[in-house]
Amino acid sequence: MASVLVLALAVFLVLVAALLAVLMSLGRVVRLPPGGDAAVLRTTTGRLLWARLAGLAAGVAGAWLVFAWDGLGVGPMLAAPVLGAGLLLGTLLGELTTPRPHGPLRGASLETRRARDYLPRFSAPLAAVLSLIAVVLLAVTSAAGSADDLGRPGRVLAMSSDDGTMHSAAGPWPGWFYAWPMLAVLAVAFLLSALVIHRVVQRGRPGLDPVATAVDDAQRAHSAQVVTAAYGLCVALPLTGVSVVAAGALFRQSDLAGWAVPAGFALLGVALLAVASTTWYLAELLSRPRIRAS
Amino acid sequence: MIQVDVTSPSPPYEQIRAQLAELIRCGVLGAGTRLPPVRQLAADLGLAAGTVARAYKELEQGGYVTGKRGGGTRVLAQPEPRTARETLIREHARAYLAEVIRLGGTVEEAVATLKDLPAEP
Repeated sequence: MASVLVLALAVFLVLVAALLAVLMSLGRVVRLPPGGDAAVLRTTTGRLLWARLAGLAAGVAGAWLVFAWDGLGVGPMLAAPVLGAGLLLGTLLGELTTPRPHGPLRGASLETRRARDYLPRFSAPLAAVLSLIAVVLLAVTSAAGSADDLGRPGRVLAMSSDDGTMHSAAGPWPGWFYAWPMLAVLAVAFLLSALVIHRVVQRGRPGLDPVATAVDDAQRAHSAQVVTAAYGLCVALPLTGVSVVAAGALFRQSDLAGWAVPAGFALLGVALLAVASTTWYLAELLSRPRIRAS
Repeated sequence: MIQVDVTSPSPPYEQIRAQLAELIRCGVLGAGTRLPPVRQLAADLGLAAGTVARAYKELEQGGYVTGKRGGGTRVLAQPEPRTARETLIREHARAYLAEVIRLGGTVEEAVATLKDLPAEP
């Protein structure tokens, strides 16, 4: 019954994300200045798109494999970050294969491009906040967790008396057993995202006329949006699971003090934020800017 | 904007250095202006990063720019930029007119051709 509810919720959220993506695409119109020829940038657009799709396919395959490896819930927790990492690698590949300036006469403007010129203003800070929440939450749950009956660290939330006798234990609990793979994957995803953003900013411009510059800037901004969304998914989806599991353990642990129930509801609030963020990032992944000639 | 002709006998780093020095001397790049990062300019021109780095290093040795780790490369103050700019424009115009006359053209033809050119190269 619970799995049916989760599946129904997932389908609903994907539909909401698709609707949001349509609205975003309608709202993000890049108007080109008159003159110039946007056709010269089709090669770049095609390479970016195909590499991104290849990365998505690799990410889906990797996520499927990781999801199938149960590992007491570690596999499902890491499936989304693996999917996001695939997408990040695909985006990096696309950025690395964009055409280099060629020909005997080459020009460059003296602008200084910065990452903040292209990173989305809402999604990037949101990803930073979610990362901070995830790290703090995993640190707290790791500190509060106890080893289970097989000695796996931090898998249960146990209440013990002063002499070390365990009264009761509730699990699974997202302690160190789950925290270290999650933190390791998040660190890798963060470094990969930073690398892709660096490449997005530093790669050469394909042309210097106003049309080429406008299309190129739109492509860079879209790549930065994809990177932010992929990293956001890497954080938000596992954070949802960690929050829900921790809240469930708190509600089940009957020996805890009065703060346990409010803490459980706070964790459900975090889960709600993470679900909403997941939907938002999915919509950002599905949306594309519309390029219109003046 | 700067341009590099990779078929020119002048090496690319010297072309970059000369153009940037000219822009700084004539005040187009004012004191404190940050030059693009080496890797970015190299990628935009399709050149190796070392080529642009060498141009920046020579500009630094010539007293045009200062480079600090983490702070980028910034233009240093230059004396009387306006005079230098006017002088440079005059020199380029004289060179252009000399070429037109060498090809059998007239001053009027040279001026008309300039007027027909678009504002951006």
